[in-house]
Amino acid sequence: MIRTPHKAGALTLSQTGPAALLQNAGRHKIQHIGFCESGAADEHAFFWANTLLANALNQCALEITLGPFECTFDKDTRIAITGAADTITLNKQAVLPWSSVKIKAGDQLHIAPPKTGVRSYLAVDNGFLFDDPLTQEGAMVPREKSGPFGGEVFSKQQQIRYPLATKHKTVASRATPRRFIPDYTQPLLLEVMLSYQHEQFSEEAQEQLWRSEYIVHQDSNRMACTLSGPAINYDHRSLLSEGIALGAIQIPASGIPIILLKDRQTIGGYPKIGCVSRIGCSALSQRRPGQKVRFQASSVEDNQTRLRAFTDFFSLAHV
Amino acid sequence: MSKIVTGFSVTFVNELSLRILFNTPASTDEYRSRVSLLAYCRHSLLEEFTHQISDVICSYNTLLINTVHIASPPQLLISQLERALARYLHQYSHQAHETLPTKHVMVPVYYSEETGPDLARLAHAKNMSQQQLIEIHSATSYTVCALGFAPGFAYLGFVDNAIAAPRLTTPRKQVNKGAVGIADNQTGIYPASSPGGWNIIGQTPTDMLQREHGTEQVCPVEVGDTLSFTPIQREQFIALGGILA
Repeated sequence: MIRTPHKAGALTLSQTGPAALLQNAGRHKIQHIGFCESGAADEHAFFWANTLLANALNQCALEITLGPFECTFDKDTRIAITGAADTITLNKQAVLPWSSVKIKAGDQLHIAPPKTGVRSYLAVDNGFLFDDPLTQEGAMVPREKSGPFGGEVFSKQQQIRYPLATKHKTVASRATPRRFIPDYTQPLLLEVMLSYQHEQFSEEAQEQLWRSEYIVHQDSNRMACTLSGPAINYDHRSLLSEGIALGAIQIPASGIPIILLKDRQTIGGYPKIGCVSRIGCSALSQRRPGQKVRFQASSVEDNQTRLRAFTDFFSLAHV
Repeated sequence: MSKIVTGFSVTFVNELSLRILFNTPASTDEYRSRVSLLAYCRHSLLEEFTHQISDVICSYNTLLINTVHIASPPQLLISQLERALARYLHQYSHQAHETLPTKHVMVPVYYSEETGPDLARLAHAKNMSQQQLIEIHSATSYTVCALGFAPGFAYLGFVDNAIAAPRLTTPRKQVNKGAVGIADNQTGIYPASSPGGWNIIGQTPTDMLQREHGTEQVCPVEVGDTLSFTPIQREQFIALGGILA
């Protein structure tokens, strides 16, 4: 558990946008009683935010949906902002996203609503602190009222504490090389591992999924990405509820696929044709309503290889 | 105890999660013994693969295993799990049942029209008195077949056919915390106020999510445990901390 030291800094929120939440790399040993995995919706941007500060990769950061976001810091620290944020000011002076930024006591940070993408990550040196005896992991789930701060989305005037700057950490400023910064306006091709009930779907139904173009629907959130587009036919009887893995593509009665994300329910009884890759789920979490999504079948092995390269990259970038 | 299964399959569903599907039980009794086996497998897996497995979700006939790192090579993990599960199944079928990690929990329920908005309608539809319905509901020892939908929501199998009833056609916007309901041949307890479509026949003062010793919230039951309901009166309900809406 993270205990708040006696001396700590605090940021005070003055604008939070629709939802600002602390998120980590996901919760463990909690799903068997029905608490969701949770964790940063976009792991790519989240890991970069921690990497830019040489933080442990699972340190919790603020996940800011859209914006505008504004806060004031009362002690020196360093921050990094990644993800959707494109227009950031510190005391009304422009600062760059995807880079580490020095903060002085009294600095005011403003993040304008981004032009593309959905979620921004604000990390601080050594991660945010919370001293909640009822929770051990820094991921907040409003629906469950679980996690630090009772899981409720942050409101104006709330304070979040952070540790004071340490001397022994590298203070070299870092920036994400341009080639690693995604363009969230690109149409998305999602890798799908066929699994669960895929054998119960007809060939035509599977073909329909591969050849159709879907549009991200406005009901999408941290639980699931809902789509609009052609229905996938499934004519088997109802199923028993079972554990749901990240990225599961659920086909409800309407036939229109739903992709289950980090805050998904732990069990569910709808048929599932397979799972979107973990990297794909991160990219999908940055797509806005109206953006285009397609699916393509790929093997578990290929996706494991890609995910291993992704996690190795951040583990190595960290040292 | 019904015959123990031997058939199961282990497959990756995504990069880090594996699904174990057991052969289909033929009866509700077989489902009850199956989830007890699932609970045994879950505990054994978490013990044996403690650094590899972060979560095991049991539900009716399946286990979903989440791993922390990508297995190297993945096929090796599948064969390790297959061997481990075959061993657990063998141990389970040869083990005295006292040593299984399951428990029985008694849950007090204030059955009434005041706490059970569907009690009168359901009793009428089933051609019985409210008292008869209460007696049937509280006479069975139920098995926790799955936990989920919301944290601490236990799917309890199975209710006597005489009181089984389909979900409401229009779910209620608000079901009270502790509400005890019936949906088809299952019964369950709402751990927190939420929307819901089960037929509500009473309310328990017992918290299905408890906070103990400064830890995360815990649930008094896990999949495979058994649970039975004890009828209580209004005064006891209030004395036990029950809150009437």
